[in-house]
Amino acid sequence: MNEEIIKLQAIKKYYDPSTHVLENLNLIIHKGAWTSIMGPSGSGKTTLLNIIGCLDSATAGSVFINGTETTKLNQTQLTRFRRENIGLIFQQYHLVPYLTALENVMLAQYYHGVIDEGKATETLKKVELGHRLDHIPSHLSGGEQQRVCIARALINEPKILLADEPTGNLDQKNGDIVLDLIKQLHAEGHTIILVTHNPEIAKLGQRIITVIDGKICSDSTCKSEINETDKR
Amino acid sequence: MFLRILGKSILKRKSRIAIAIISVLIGSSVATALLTVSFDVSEKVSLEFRKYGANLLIVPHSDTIEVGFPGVEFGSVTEQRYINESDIWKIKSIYWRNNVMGFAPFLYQVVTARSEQVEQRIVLVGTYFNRTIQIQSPYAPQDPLTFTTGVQIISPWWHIMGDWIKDENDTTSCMIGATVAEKLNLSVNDSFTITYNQQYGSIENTSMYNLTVVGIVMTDGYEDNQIFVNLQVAQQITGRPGKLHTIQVSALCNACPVETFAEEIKELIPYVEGRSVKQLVHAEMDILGKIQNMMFLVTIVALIASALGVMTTMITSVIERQKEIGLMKSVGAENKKIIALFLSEATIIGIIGGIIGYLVGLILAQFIGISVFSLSITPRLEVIPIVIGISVGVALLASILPVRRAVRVEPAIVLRGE
Repeated sequence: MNEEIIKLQAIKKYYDPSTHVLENLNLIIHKGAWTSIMGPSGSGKTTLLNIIGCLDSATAGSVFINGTETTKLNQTQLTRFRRENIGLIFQQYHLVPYLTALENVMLAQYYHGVIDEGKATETLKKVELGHRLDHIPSHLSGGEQQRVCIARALINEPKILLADEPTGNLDQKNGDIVLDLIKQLHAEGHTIILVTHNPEIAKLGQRIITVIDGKICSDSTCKSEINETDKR
Repeated sequence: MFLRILGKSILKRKSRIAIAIISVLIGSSVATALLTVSFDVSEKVSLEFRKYGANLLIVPHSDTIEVGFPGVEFGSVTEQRYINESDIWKIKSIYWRNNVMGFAPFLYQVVTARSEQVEQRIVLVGTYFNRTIQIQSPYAPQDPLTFTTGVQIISPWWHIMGDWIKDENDTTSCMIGATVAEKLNLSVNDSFTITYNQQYGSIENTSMYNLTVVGIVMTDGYEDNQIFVNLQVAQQITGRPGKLHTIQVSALCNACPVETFAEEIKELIPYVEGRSVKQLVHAEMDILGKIQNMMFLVTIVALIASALGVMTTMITSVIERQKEIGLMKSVGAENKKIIALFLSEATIIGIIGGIIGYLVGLILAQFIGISVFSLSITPRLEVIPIVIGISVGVALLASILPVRRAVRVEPAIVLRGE
């Protein structure tokens, strides 16, 4: 459980010289942990998630994921690394509108190079969408679309799951279903990093990081560690 | 899976794809029309041009002797020579025989024509009107042994009031030019006499013939001033049996220069030489060349318009699909997969646009053929692969910028929610 799976060292991200999104950020995340990232809009939490998810590159600093320094990989290598190691769950679901639920899941398989319709069906059944395989996204509810998104994120068995406001567009009932699924995935051993505005959802994680103005201004684990050190 | 994505993405955006196909269709239909017209009409126009007369004149080779002495030139003396009528079939036994559309021999003599009170000196022309000749030694064994030829074949554009001389053995009928008819006050079925004075040293022999007009020739050319009779009639009147002055040949010179015909004829009839009617040949080539240049330019403009249409549609498509592209990249699509998707779409647009454009182009070709050249256009199958190739090429070329734009889409755009 203490094995490092993500390590960020002195990460800086500038979109232009006057826009500093992340400032000298350091972070270590352990394998199998559920880390919640909180912060106000524009604080840099999504950029942080993008850098961890190999969707964006840091201006300076090093990122190590599962022992690989991703900051040294080119675009093609990053794409390959991402599809093999990281599953993405989006607030907006981002399903291809003209493909069915099954095909949206198989899309991730196709880009991974291994198409297995049976496995894709099984994964959709796991998120309780076995009866919606042939439905296109517009014929699915928001909760169902998010579950397709989760199934797509899981299909290539990634080690890390990144979720950006996964319940942001869902009502309470569907939000609970999705959170239950994420809890189940965490229980199965996935490393979860979840960005949220909701403190109640953030508390589901073992660790809560708060990012403000591109800096980690609070880290619940650190606090507890500091508290423990103080007690000693 | 790739085909599923491709097929569904096309079906999902039917209207956009239809606009791109229509863009390609515009270019491909113009290209089809102009290629078909270019291929078909250049051949048919050559044939059409043949209707306006011969383009090769065969004359006997004659030696010219300069007469005079140092410092004083009296001019030149040219020996009068003839072509033997018995050699005329050889023109149809050269290598390019199939391109010899027709020929007609000519024997000329100035005679005196008299009708009632009017007397005129007029050129009498002996020729073939529509005569079947024997090919005594065909170039190839499978070649036909006869060939029907004459003025009626090489000059079908002559306007005739009345009729052509139909019987090749007819020795009393003639056709007269419109000016002759006017001067001698003659109409169809009228008769008149011609006289020809032949000098044999001090002896003068006068021949007189009665001829009946069967047709009046109107060409607005020198033919309007001539009297036409069967060749043997002119030979008999002038006392030159089996002889003729010139042969006019109508050669289809689309694939080879007319000079080639002349050289080949000279090989078989060594005492003649061929003179291309260069003005006509050059004008023919010039017009064809200009037509083809114009067609080429119009095609290029149409294809550029197509490319711009496809490019605009594809760029709009890329902008609309930015999130989809970002998503595909975020779930692991490498750039080559994105490029393959867009180029495949472009290829399909090109193929469909090319096929429909070919069909529309055939209609356009018929319209151009009939309205411009008064010719019906024959569809050319060899145009299909060319047009589809051009259409796909244009669609792919027009996709370069949109594809570059698609490749530049950052996957992070999906998470940023932009």
